[in-house]
Amino acid sequence: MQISSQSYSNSRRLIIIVLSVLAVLFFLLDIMLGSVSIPFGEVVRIVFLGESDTTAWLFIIEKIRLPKAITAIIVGCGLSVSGLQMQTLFRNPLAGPSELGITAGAGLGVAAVMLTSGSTASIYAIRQLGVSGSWLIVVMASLGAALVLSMVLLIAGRIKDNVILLIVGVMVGTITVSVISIWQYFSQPEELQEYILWTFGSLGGIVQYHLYVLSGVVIVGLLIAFSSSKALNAMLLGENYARSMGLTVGKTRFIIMASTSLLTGSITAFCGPIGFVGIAIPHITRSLLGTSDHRILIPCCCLVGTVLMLICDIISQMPGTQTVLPINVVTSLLGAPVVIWVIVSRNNLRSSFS
Amino acid sequence: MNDTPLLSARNLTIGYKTGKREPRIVSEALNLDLWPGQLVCLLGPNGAGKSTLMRTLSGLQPALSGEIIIDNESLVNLKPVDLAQKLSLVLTERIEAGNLTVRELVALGRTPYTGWLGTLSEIDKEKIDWSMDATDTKRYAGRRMNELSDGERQKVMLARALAQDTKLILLDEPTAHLDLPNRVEMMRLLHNLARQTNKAILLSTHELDLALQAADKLWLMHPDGKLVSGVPEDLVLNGSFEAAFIKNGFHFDRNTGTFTIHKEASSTPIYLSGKTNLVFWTKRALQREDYIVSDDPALPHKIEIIESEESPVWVFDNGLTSKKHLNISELIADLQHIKKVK
Repeated sequence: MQISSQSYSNSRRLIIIVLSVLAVLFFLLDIMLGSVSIPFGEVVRIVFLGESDTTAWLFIIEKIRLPKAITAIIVGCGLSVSGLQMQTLFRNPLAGPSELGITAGAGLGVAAVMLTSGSTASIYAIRQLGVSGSWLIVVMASLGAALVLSMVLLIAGRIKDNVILLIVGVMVGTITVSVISIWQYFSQPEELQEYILWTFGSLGGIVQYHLYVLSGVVIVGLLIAFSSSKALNAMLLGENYARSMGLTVGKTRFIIMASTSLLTGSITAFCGPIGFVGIAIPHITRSLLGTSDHRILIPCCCLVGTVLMLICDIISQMPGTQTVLPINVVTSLLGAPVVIWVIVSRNNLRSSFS
Repeated sequence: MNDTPLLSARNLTIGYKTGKREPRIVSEALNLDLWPGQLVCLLGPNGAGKSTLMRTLSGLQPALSGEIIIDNESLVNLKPVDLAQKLSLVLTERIEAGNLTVRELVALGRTPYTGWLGTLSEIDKEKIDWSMDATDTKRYAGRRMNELSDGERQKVMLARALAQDTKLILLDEPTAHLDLPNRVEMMRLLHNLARQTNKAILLSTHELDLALQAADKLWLMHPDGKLVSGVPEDLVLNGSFEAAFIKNGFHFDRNTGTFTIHKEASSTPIYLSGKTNLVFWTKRALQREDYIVSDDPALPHKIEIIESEESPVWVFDNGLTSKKHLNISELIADLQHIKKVK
């Protein structure tokens, strides 16, 4: 037995090292590739030393590509950890931020800010907001996410049936989306166009203090998630066992919800609804590492999320061309097959959850 | 140490409170004591409130009134972490954390003792090792939960409860999904654990005969919510056991401690004599065929079992003629005649 657990941890270490190398590699690749191609050596020099002979390259990387790559990492970490927490909280493999309408809730929060501000500003104009404005957006988006999450939890919290939970989530999501639709119906065509642009999702354009706010909130969310990994582990056995092991289930649930809402809310506010990352990456990570221990899963979800988001971002830039695909389209194209795989291979699904 | 009960309930009322409606009382005025070193089986027909009582005693569900005292402290005053160090549970619900290895799952039992990240200390590891040894689960420590059979799974859940290192263990139908050898092993294991570790173990079960054999004490729950407790043998002899399970269609045999399926309007009484083990099995066959076995030799129908050198012979005397049969099958075929005559 010692031998087998030894070999487990050895292969686990190898996977983590490979993932870390891939993360660094794709990070540099993401910065290198784009409409203007910059040599790899120069990228490394700019990223690590902050100097270059060509000022144009320096500008492109420092002002555009580096923030975008960092945003990709933040999104990859935040959404996948939030999905992981939801899957454990609901004890359901199909739980995820976009599947249960949490992203839509965050969108509602964003919309609410725009509505009450009374201006003709659209959601897309978040990026024109000042520091206080970006904080307001984050708070509202997180509250919107929390609202939907608690609604789903209230209705389906006691039901372990995968299908019922999914239906409730989709319904709550639909209600949220239709509330947004009403607002869209009464808004100006220009606003509408920009709202639709927002729904495509974008990793670009988040610079300076927006990036600081976003990364700050996501780091707080991730820290909360990691510090509750012991509680999440206990939740694997179900609420009754968790309670019998000394967990205050209500408190734990609140903490997990807070972390999930912060992560999903802030990311959705800035980058638009990015689908499938939250549901797909925890599954990939679990099957890669063969464990349910959240102390390992949370950091590894971050790694896998980083790698995959960077890959998605590279694809969305369509290297060598001038076109850029919306990021949401790319993640969905890659993520949806993973969800299908999860549903089809019921064994995998059954073994992780009831 | 043995002078105070580990768990006691005083004037306890259990049931469900739903909204503003009248609470549904399952059972009231319960006075119970659970002593260290005792294995107590909670028995009762379906729907008598066994699970409700287990849930209430373990703090998963609030009591409607009355008091539960665990290790000299009132249950309502105990913080979850403190309670987790006094009482552990094995529940009926199937755990499907399939990605966890057996050892990881048992280690979760240390949750109340570990720090914020759940890192295991040397003491934790010792306790985990001990509980896996005690339940004989070390053989599959590295296997995943979804690779285990129901019997192995249940032992792992028990190991987890043992690793929690509590004086009290409550098990809700731990033998429910197991086959007979596994059920017997589970009961034997629990019985030994109670004796060796001086823990108090309470389990609810439907295994009447196993409970009669292994339990130090029975808590019998009647369908009307009344609870009688006592040593198994006392309860059998004073009729409480029968009363708890009373239902048409079977009766409790005090001689053997088993329930027999017993059809109404049964027919002909037959006198049966012979060697004990042969009589036992013949009696079962006759009862299945609706005959009443009596020990009155004056009856017209008699069966005598004679043991010859090689095999037993059943001699059936219907008052007029007597016939020899070499096995029970033939005997029963012959008995069909007296049924038809009637």
